[in-house]
Amino acid sequence: MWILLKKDLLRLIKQPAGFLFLIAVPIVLSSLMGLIFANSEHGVILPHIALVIEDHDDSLLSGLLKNAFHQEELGEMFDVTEVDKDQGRAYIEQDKAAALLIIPAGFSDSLLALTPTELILVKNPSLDFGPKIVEEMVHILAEAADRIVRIGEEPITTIRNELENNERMTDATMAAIAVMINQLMTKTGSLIFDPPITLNKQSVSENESNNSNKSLFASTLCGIATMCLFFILNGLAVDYFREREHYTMYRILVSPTSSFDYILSKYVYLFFAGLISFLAVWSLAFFVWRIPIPLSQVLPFCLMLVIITSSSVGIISLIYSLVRSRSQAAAIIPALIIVFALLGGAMIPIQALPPFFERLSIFSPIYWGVDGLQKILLDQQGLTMLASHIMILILLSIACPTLSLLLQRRRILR
Amino acid sequence: MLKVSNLTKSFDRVLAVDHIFFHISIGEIFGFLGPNGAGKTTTINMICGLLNPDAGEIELDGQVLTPDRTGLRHKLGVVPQEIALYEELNAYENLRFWGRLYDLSGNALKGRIHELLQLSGLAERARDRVKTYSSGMKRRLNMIAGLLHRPALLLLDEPTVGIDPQGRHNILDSVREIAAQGTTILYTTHYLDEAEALCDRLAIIDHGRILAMGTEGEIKSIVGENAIIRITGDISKEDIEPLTSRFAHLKIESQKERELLLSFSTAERAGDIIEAMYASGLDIENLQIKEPSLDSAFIKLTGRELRD
Repeated sequence: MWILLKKDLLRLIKQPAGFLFLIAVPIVLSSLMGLIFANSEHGVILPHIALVIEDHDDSLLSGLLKNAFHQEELGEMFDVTEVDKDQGRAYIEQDKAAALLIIPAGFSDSLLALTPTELILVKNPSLDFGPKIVEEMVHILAEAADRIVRIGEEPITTIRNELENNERMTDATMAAIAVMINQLMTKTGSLIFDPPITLNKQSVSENESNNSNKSLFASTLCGIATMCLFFILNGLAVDYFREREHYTMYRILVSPTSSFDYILSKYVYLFFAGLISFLAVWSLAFFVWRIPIPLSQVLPFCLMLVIITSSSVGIISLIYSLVRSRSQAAAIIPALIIVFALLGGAMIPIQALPPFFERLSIFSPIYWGVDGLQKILLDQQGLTMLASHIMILILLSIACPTLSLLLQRRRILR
Repeated sequence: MLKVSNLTKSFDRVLAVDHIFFHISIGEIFGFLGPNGAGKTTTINMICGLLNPDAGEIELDGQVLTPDRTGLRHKLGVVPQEIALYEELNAYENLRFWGRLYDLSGNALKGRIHELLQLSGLAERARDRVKTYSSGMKRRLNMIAGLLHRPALLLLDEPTVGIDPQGRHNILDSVREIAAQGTTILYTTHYLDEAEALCDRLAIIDHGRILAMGTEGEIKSIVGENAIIRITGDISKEDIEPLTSRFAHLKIESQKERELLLSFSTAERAGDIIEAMYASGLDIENLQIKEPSLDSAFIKLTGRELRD
């Protein structure tokens, strides 16, 4: 068996291009992810949304509403363009804006009169994310304006009546309004200026922000690396067919070597090659991109890598013993890996799957690997907490190769 | 050395090997002659333990060969019909690997590799990758890979397929040399001249059955003194029947599309038969006469030529 294994490793060394290409895929992917997540110094990057406003009211209140979109973080998020009447829709049609906000004439009067009024929001149908944010923001601002007007209803009504009846307010009226505002402030001041619940705003430090990004990176890498391991093994397992097509398998099997030894040597070869590629990806993640791993988790993590690799070798070998030709393998196995990866949370989090598919995830062998790695790396769980994961992966590591061995031997001796 | 009794194998209701019996004595070159699909390779695969026979028994040096008795394979050397080598490795690495499978190691293996590389004329290219070799060189390497462990019985499965005449000549010389060193050889081929030139004894196999077995002379005697006439053209059996009644020793062997095979005793004069054919106005496009030979024996036994 070792002679056969040595021969396969020698072939790998003599012609490494194929293997290096297979390993390059997860390494490049993890490097890109590392560049995106691990070294980000800016925290969360806000989206930039183009908003067009048509102000048909042109009043103090409509001005306040427009100004709200220029304040602090909203100012960073929204790129506001004020246009003349009836020009806004052209921006939407030309995909130059995510949404058009129309402030109708009389908006301010209606608001002060506490009569129903409306803001018109025209959303760009070709965009999804931006218009929804604008809608949400306009809704918040409209609600805030409504509250302010309702709280100050009495002084606002007096001011409005005075302005409608007399062009100039008398000193007595001014004094009366001042008293009303004073009383209003006394009543509401405790709520406005001294809130019972204090929001203690803290900014996240750069270090914590980086750790959060690295956790996200580690979580994603657990999925990507496990999925890529399956693809690498699939690429290497083609050797089953190559040896058959080149009659080297025939020559081995007519020698004193047993078919059992031959098949076993292929498993061991796949296992070593798979483990090397898996370790390469994770070494990069730990030593270059500095994904944190506590010392206590190193052993469980390494053990999990070994178990995942052995179970993956078993599964790929079993599939290869069921397919009849290289072309059948090329058509079926990558599709199967993608299904396993999707259901197993390697591509998107399982929580993002529809409930039915979420329930199916336990049938994906990738799930047990990805979830196990995430629990070790992110939740710092030990091996005892992962007993079910380990048992299932070990079961796959034993059952799949055994079944595959029987099928392959049957095929060879036919 | 090798005794095969009642060997039978079928694949999906197709009988590939049909109750065959033969034996090979020590030091003998035994030829297995038959067209493609006759059952030669299936028989070899059962002898080398790759296939389980449906019935029958194979004995090597008095011991029954089964797929599980891998130890007995030390006595067997197999040279497959196809080039079974690792093209990404060089000749030396290939031979070292195949030698190790037969428990050879150390200086014994090194020495044997050098000896065989010299014998095959590949010593100078030993460190080049096999993929850079010509097909003749690959064939030679393919053959010596089966000789590393000095097998008692060498199974050569059509070792000259697809190579040029000179390469073929080299391989036949090598086989003679191997046999001269005392190795027993089972040589399968569909080339009559190779069988005639190499083999001490022959078995003619077709559709899984051994049709004739013996020395070249013994097989020729099956045909007797008969020669074969092969006619191509728009001719049917009915056109020939008047001639078969006129010439008592003229017989129709087979008819296939536009080809007719006749046999006649050399007691008859070939010239008389041909003259009568043309005189009866037969539409003959081509006519060939084959004197009694393995070829004519094969045609007599199978009703077709070996190239079919």
